[in-house]
Amino acid sequence: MKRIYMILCSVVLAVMLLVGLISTFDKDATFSEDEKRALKTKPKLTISGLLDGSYNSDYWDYYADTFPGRESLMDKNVTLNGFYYFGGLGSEDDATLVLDFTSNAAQHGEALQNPDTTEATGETTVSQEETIPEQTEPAGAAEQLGNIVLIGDSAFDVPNADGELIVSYAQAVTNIANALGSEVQTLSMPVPNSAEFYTKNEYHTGAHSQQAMVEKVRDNLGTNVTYVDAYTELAKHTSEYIYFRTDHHWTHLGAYYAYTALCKTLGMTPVTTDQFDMGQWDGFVGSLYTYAANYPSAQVLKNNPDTVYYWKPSANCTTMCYKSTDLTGGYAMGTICKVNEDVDNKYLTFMGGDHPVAIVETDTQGPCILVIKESYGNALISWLTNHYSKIILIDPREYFSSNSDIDLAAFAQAQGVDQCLVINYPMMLNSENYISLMNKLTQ
Amino acid sequence: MEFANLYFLYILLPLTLLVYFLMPDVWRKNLVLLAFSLLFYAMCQPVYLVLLVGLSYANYKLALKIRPKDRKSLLLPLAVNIGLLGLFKYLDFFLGIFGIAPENGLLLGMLKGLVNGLNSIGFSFDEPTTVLPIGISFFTFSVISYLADIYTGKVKAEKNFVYFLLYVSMFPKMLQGPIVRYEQMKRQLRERRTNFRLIFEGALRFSVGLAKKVLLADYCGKVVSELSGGADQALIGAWLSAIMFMFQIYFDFAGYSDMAIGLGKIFGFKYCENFDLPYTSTSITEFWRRWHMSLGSFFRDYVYIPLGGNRRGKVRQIINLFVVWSLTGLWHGASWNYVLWGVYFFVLLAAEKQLMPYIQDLPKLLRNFLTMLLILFGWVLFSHEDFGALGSALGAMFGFGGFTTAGIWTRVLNCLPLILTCWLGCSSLPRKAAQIWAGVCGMVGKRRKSNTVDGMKVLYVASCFVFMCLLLWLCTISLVGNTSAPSLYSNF
Repeated sequence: MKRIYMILCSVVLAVMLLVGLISTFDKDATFSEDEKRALKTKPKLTISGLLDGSYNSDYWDYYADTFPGRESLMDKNVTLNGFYYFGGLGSEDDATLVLDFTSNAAQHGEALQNPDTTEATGETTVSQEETIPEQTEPAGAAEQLGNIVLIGDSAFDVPNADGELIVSYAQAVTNIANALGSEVQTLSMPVPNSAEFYTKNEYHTGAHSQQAMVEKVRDNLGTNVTYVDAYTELAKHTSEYIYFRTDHHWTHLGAYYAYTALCKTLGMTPVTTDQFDMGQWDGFVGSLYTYAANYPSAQVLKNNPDTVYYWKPSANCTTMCYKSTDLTGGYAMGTICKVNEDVDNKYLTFMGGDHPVAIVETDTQGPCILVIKESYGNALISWLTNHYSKIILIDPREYFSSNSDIDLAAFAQAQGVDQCLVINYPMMLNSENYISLMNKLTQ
Repeated sequence: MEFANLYFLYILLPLTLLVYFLMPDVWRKNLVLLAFSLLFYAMCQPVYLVLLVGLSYANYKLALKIRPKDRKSLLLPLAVNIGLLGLFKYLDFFLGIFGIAPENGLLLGMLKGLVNGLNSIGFSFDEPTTVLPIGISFFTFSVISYLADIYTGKVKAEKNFVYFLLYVSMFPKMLQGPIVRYEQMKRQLRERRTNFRLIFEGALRFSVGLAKKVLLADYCGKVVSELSGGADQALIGAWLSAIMFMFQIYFDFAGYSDMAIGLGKIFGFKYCENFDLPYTSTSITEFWRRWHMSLGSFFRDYVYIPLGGNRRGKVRQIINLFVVWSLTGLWHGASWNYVLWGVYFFVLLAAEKQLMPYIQDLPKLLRNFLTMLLILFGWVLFSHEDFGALGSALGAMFGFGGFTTAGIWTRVLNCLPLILTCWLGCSSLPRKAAQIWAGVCGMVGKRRKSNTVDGMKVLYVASCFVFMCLLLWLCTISLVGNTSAPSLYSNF
């Protein structure tokens, strides 16, 4: 018996030593394809790092990130998660997975950002020949309340209302109107996301009612702000493909119906979709899948991808993107509805993602509009080219990640802005972080 | 450093074991163990290594001066240790009582100032987040037990500093206990025999502890933090959160104790047991005999009995119990909710003594259920340092926040397998099953002692080996897939 114990003990120790040796001398991976993030590198040994303990903790993180066979162990961990996140045996319209938006980040290291910042960090690739701008850290990271819910083959991000925050959101919009003065007509268009229309009652009533959220915005806007009721237009067309199932955004068609609401408010006649050439990308698996990729029940999203349909604008557009309102360091963008084949995030079809400042000049006769937006605004722009000679986009998250201040009124005046549209989806109406960035626009 | 850390598991631990077992005698083995223990501590908090060694040396010297039954000679050493623990852990708490509450703490503020000063002249230290030397509570209690035992004449002061330093700093139990008495270690430090069977059993015990921490406690903790991250709590969510925390704290702490005891066994030490299926208890009294046993016996032997225990009348006994339970609470953290938690158990224990004749005859299952319900509310007190949050958590448990929130039933469904596993894991079932299996294979009684190879015994050892490998494999997958949360008890 003694010998058996000896052999078994030696085997365990030998395997542990062997793994230790391999992990020390193997070549470290530097990038994780699955998680779309750079892996930690070996920390630099410094006296201060050694004394304050940060060297060691960084080293452990690096060690875990470059552990031999990590990719395949991560895959096995997905299987293991099937036990910890049991999807049930219930009927198809029952939710199978609920994840917390904010506190779940640990599940996938740092790769799991808030879905809305994915394009800001990883893939602000502006197509074709232009110079690619320097990558910046996301400004609007996390700080949102809500859950990701998986129902059937669709995922939803369900917002939690924070009444006081919504009031301060409306106030922030009003502040923008005040800053721009009476020459500029300011419009507010809060839009719902898919959770409002395709989930069971519990996910879109009470604290989760997006109708209540947009109405609360409407009721708290200053008298100098015009409310655009996109909610009602979208609600009429829920049988159409207006939201992605695997991504937290709306589709180009969803943005179209919001655009018709804008036309209604402004007394313009909307264009019809059939007058444009269409393009499409099949096999789009979006941010909500990325967020839940570690859970087996979310594989249904990967197996049932979305299709990105888009309508190519007929107006001739010249688009420049800038880091700041001083319009230095600009780079040109070829067309506003295009994305390279190798880019996974096909929502980048629209405006190539988020930019601090972008200016689209068209050959259409019409006024100039300033659009203050997060990524939901991007899909709206091509529809606006049918009415405006100039469309200026400002994304507060991107803007304040590379700038510390802005003189919005002076910029708007210099550009000859006639209208200003503030468009946001519900996660932003309840995001303290985003609202503070909006407030920075007028401070 | 956590034991649930890939670097520890695959670099530091195997390296320690290799060097340790290459040493020919106990003295050199001790030196290796000491060196790795100090390295282990330095990897967590490099600067405080000086404090650890310095304080150990001071205690070593002070202890030599203690004369049995001479109260005065005990006073200074006790004051030094309690004073330092108070300084590092309770200063801001006590200042708070007097209404002085410096922003981010007095000592921490000073340390931050120092670091900023150093950084302004060219260093680049990270801003400190805590001044608490890790393991100081366990260190202090081990030392106090040592000093008190010299005073009562139970043991003689250790004359060799290496042995003493190894006793207080040995890494398996340094950070989170169990609180091992010097009395139990004195001989083991000098002569201990080990064999491959003990090493194998130690490794198995370590793996089981690691699995409790990584495969159960951490996932429970994730559910708890996700639920507290949600804006609105209602009845179902509040109960789910409380139950998951109850599981988390048990598997976290008992898992750590298993790992410590297992590692100790590998090195040939026999530490005291720390948990004995506490959630199977049928009374609060029984629970405290089974939960964190080394702490309970510490307070019994070094506070309750010296205060007079139950020998000085009913009133004095109640006062003594009150002191013990307030201190037990306070030991867990410098915040009023821990005191409240301690006093809560004082009240329960006092009430239980009176009511015992009436409860005794209830069915066992019902008594277990009632006990666990009270323990559960105890953990709710324990887990909320903020009284506002505590109020709303308790309110939600009684239905003041509504019944459900969106998605809560899906969440319950998602963690159903985990809940069931935890529930089984807390019961006596795994232990009984292991005993039966050992019995079937002839691993108990005389047959075990004989060294002959026997088919059933080989089968038993093989099954243990497969089980151990499976646990280590799953833990590795989970550790790679998730960043492990720090142990709940590492702050104490």
